[in-house]
Amino acid sequence: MTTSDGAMAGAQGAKADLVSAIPKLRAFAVSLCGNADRADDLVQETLVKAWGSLASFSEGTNLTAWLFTILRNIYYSEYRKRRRETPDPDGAMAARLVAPAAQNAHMDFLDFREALQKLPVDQREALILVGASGLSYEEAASICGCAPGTMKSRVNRARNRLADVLALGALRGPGDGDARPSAIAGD
Amino acid sequence: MANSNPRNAVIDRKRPVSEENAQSRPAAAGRPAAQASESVVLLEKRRRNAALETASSEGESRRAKEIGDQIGKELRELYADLVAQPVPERFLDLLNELEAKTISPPTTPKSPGER
Repeated sequence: MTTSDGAMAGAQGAKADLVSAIPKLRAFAVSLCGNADRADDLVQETLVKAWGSLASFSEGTNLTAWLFTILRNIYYSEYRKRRRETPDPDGAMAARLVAPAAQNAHMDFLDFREALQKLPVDQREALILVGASGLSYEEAASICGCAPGTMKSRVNRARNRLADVLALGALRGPGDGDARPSAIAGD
Repeated sequence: MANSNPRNAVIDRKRPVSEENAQSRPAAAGRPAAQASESVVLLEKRRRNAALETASSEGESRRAKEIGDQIGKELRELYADLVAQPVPERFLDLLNELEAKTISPPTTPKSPGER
């Protein structure tokens, strides 16, 4: 019997897969909760839980989607718990969002992330899953346990809301005019 | 300025005709020519309004598309920034620990001195 060899190979393979999924997990976690420290706690819990239930993962399906589902479930059970304790001050969360200032090339950059963080969480996660991580509506819907149509309407509402914020930002002022050459040339 | 005058004239002309229609319908039926010219004017007016609306909604939808594209770009950039962050050691340590446990499950799973 080579049970231990098999287990070792399986464990190593699983570990490698999980390691390569960590950046996406962290990105999703930060987008969800807007706080880098909490995001990493979420990722840690997700990895432990995923490791424990690797047997229930069916080989050949989307590992990232499976991990997102676990992370999301942990987030929501924790979120509900914390909400009863302390309401999240939106501004503080947004301020702690991982935002490398050096890469801040557009004036809308921070506005955008702040606006994103102020969306209702169901809309934000819809936008991140579909608009950023590139999952299909169907995959995103199965992660969130809703119908693809519901996912679509969440994405649309989120986009409309962000569009309003960005349009206001554009009206608000010429902070740095050369940051939006296309808008000027277009009009 | 020059444009608004003819439009006002159209509206002024319209009012008495429609009042007349309301008051005496049989009589109006006897004046198809007047009605025909009236409807030509109305059609023309409607066509012009529609053209104006299309022009402004084209501008609006172009702008909406620009904003939509920008949202997509910002989202992808945000995600790419986050994904590009280096993986903290703590996660690699954690997975090594989990792996070690799986390969050689300890006989006493939670002995205090183990970690």
